[in-house]
Order: sequence, then structure tokens, then C-alpha cells
Amino acid sequence: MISIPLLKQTVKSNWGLWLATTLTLILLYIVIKFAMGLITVSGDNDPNILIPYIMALESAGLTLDGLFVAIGLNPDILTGIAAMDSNVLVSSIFYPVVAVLMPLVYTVIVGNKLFANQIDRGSMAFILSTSIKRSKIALTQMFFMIISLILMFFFTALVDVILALTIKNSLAIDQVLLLNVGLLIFSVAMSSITFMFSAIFNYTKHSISLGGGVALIFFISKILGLFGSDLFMNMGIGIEPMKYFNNITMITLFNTQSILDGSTTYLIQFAILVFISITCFTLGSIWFTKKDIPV
Amino acid sequence: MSIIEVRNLTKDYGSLRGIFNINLEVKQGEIFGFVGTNGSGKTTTIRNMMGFIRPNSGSVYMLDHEVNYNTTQIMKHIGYVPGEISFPDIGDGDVFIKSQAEMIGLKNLDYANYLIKKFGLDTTANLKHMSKGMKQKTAIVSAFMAKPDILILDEPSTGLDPLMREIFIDVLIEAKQRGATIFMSSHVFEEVEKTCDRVALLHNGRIVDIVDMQKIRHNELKTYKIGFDDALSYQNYLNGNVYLSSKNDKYRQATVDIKDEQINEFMKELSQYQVKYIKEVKYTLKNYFLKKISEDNKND
Repeated sequence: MISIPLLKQTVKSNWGLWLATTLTLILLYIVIKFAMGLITVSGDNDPNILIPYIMALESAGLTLDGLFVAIGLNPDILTGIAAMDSNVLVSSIFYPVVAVLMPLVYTVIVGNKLFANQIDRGSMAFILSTSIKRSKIALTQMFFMIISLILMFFFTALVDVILALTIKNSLAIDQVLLLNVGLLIFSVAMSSITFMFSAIFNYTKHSISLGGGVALIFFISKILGLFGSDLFMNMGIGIEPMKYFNNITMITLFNTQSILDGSTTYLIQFAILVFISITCFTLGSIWFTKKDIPV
Repeated sequence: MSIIEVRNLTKDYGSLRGIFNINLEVKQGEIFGFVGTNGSGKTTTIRNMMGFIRPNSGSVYMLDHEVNYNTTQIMKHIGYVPGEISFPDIGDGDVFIKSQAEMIGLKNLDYANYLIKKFGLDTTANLKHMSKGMKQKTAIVSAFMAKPDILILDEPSTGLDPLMREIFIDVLIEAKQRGATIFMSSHVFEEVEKTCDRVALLHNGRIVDIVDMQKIRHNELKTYKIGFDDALSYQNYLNGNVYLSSKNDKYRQATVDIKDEQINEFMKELSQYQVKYIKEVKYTLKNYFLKKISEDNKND
């Protein structure tokens, strides 16, 4: 199904970037997870501490809600913050915004190198002039893309689980695993998009500007969308209309909130990501087998 | 038996660019030259032959297989040197040659090593830092190492120094001697003259002519330039001269085309005049080609 000699060649020209990305990602995990172990947000505090304050306010005929209104905040924030779990807060920002950036960059660069860059430079001629079929070339490159991401998140998940076991107040192991699986599924979907653009275009400039452009839009929209998310709204720092940005970024389909609160929405969203992957990988591969390759 | 057959091949890129109605046939064991000006469509034709790009109409057959349908079958028999050489980003020359051998399923690297030695190629150099000539040699080695039945070479001697060009010609002849069929584009006329059996002349995407090199090498019609000292001899010679093809009054020089059988008659006549010098204009492919192109341009 795939060509081993070609796979070797693809590994040779991409392993450096893979290693750098994986190591950076692992380092990021270690730093963030240790930092998370140090912080305590209200959820970890004893709610009884508040009782004397509430009593003091009540004895003067006032309420805590009133205090919030007086300083210009929505009193609902109080319950929001009180219910906040530091793990949920950090995980909802760390996985889909910080950690996601590494594989995003990786898929854009590697995606482009799989086809467009080799056609643009002309080195694809040496592959096409062998008896390896174009469909086999596409399949081999796709195989590398997916396997390299699986390996990347195998190692990060391993580190993440070890961290969860050593740092107290961590997320449950199954949640940690699901978050990493989510990152993997999202990254594969993202890679299918860069793969497709690379397979369609004969010039690096076109492949990179579309693949990288889409990745950039997804990333920026995610950050903007975060301000309109329930998470930020509950903390009182949200800007509601910005939630619409969540509708234009594929990162939304990596639903950390659903994973962490145990609902099943994320499963449907994973299925959509898998569907996107299958569509883009197939489209790119078919296009590559049919198009003119000027090398 | 024809090994390569190009039938009515057209690839139109619009605004008169592309190739139009190309017909070629290359026989077993032949070295077929493909000569043309820059942008005349040599590389486009070759890319169609390799099945990298698909024609608007027409087809290419190699070993009786249509290239776009049986690519895998055909590629087993083909060695290819691209017109513009760029290597994958995988390390040094040695790594590339081994990787390429693996891709074409070649286990025995004896001939590759022989070629590396013959070209004096340093395979430990990083592919990125290779000079034009080194890249060319590396590409030639990888195309020839499996001793393929068909060699498709797009300007294979670009970047080679004159010494290396000689070695390359040796390697070409070696391939021909073992029965390989070679299709080679080039803009170096001497190399084509030395090696090719037949040569197609491509101009503005059309084949202007296909010449048999035997006819060029053993041309019976020879061209001479004759210079005269005094104006009288010059004028007298010109009067009623049947061989005259052109003249230059400033230098008192007459150019004549003489068949080998007419040479004695020509000498006898010439002996009556005061001749300053006589020289043969060598009949080369280049001259032939330039003449054809200027004729072709006039027709347009």
C-alpha cells in the first residue's frame, strides 16, 4: 500500500522538525503542569471562609450581590468563580490555545514539504520517474503525516500522564488522555487541510499561504473566541459577541469543556474532525494523481 | 521496433506557447537528439513523454504502453535526468544515490560506483551545497546506474565542463552499445553531432525537421568561400556563375555550393582567376539548424 523507500526519504527530510516540535511540546507540558500545581483558585478554597464576610454584610442590611453590583460587576460572577476549578480553567486555555500551536506549525511546514515544495523545487522528478504510482506516493505521504502525529501525541500523552500522577490536584488520567487524543484528532484534521493544499498546488507560495493562512485564521479566531466563551463570561471578563469567532475556527471542535465536564458533545465533534480528515486527505490524494506536475 | 512513439502530441498553454502536433518515433538502440531554442517546448515534450503532464491531445507510447495508463510498467525501464535538478532534502550524495537505488529496486551498485569513479564525483558532499556540475553528475549517475532500457535526458550535459562532457559522451555510447534507446534534448550541437543517430529540430513548439546525422556528417554538398584580390577577377567570376549562393562585395568574397562530383570542374574554372583564398565552410548541424529556423521564420 505504501512505498517503504519513499517513507524512509520522507522521514529523513522531516524527522528534525518532528523532534523539535515534540520536545518543545513536552517542555511546554512540564512547565505548564508544574505551574498549575502551584496555583489555587477559589474552587480549591474553603467556602466557609466567606461566611463571616457575608454575615457582616447582612448585619448591615446589605448583600454580597449588592457589593458586586456596587463595584459594577454582574453578581452571577460570584457563583461562576466560586465553582471554578483551576484545572478546568488552565486546561481550557492550555490545550486548545497554547499546546495546539506546536502541531499547527508542524502540519503547515510538513504538509507543504510533502508535495508542493518538492514540485516547486523539482525534486519530485526523482520520485515520479520511479515505478512508484502517484496514488502510492500520496498514500505514503499521508501515512507519514498521520503516524508522525500519532507518535508525537503518544509521547506527549505519556509525559502528561506521568505529570498527572506526580503532581497533586491534577486532572484525572482519563481526562488527560482524552485531551491528548483530542489534540491528536484535531492535528490530524489540520494536517489533512495542509496536505490537501500541498497536493493541489505546484508552488510553495500557494500551498503555504493557503495551508498556513487557514491555520492562522483558526488560531487567531480561537483566541478571540475565547473572550466570548462561557469560561470567560463566567469569570466576568467575557465579551459576548466575540463568541462568534468560535464558529470560524476548527479548534472549537476540540471541545475541552465537554471533555472535562464529561458530556458527550465532544464525541460528535471528534467524528466531524475525522470526517474532515477523510475528506481532505482523499481530495488531496485524488487531485495529486490527476494533475500536471511540471518537474 | 520503435521504443518511443509520440503521436500528434499537443499541449497548448495558450498565446502560442506549448507544443503542437509533435510526431516522433525512436527505434531500438537509437540515440535520438532533440534540439531547439530556449522555450521551444523541449522540456514540455519530455514531461509529456514521462507522463508528468498530460497532453490536450495525442499520446505517447513507450515499449507499446501508453504512458498515462501504464506508468508503473514503463518507469521500470526508464532512466531520467530532469532539466532542472533539485534533490530531496535528505543529506549527502551517497544517501541520495542509495535512496534512489532503493526506490527503483536496484540492489547491485557496482555500475553506480563505476560511474561515480568515472565522473570523479564526490558523493560525500551535501546535496544542498553541490555545484551545478556536481548535481548534474549525481543526477546522471542515478539515471544510468540501473542500466535502463530507455534513457530520457533533458539537457544532460548542462553545467559539465568540457572534460566531463567527453566522459558523459563515453557513458552515452556505452549505454547505446548495450542496446539502450536514448532520447536526449540538448542545446550543445557538438555533443548531438558526436552521438546522435537522428535529430529532431524543434522551433516554436513544432518539429521543423528530423535529420539523419549520417547525411549531415557525409554531406555531398559543400560550401566554399572564395576571396579575390582585385575587383575585376571578382566581377568576372560572379558573371554567370552557376554555383553562387551568396556574395559579399565589400570583401570581394563569393560563397558557392559545390557537389563532390562537380569539384574538378569547379577547380578548373577557378584556376582562371586571381584567387586570394579559398576555404570550406563546415557543414554542421548548427548551420543546418539556423538555416531551417530562418526559413521557418520567413514562412510565418
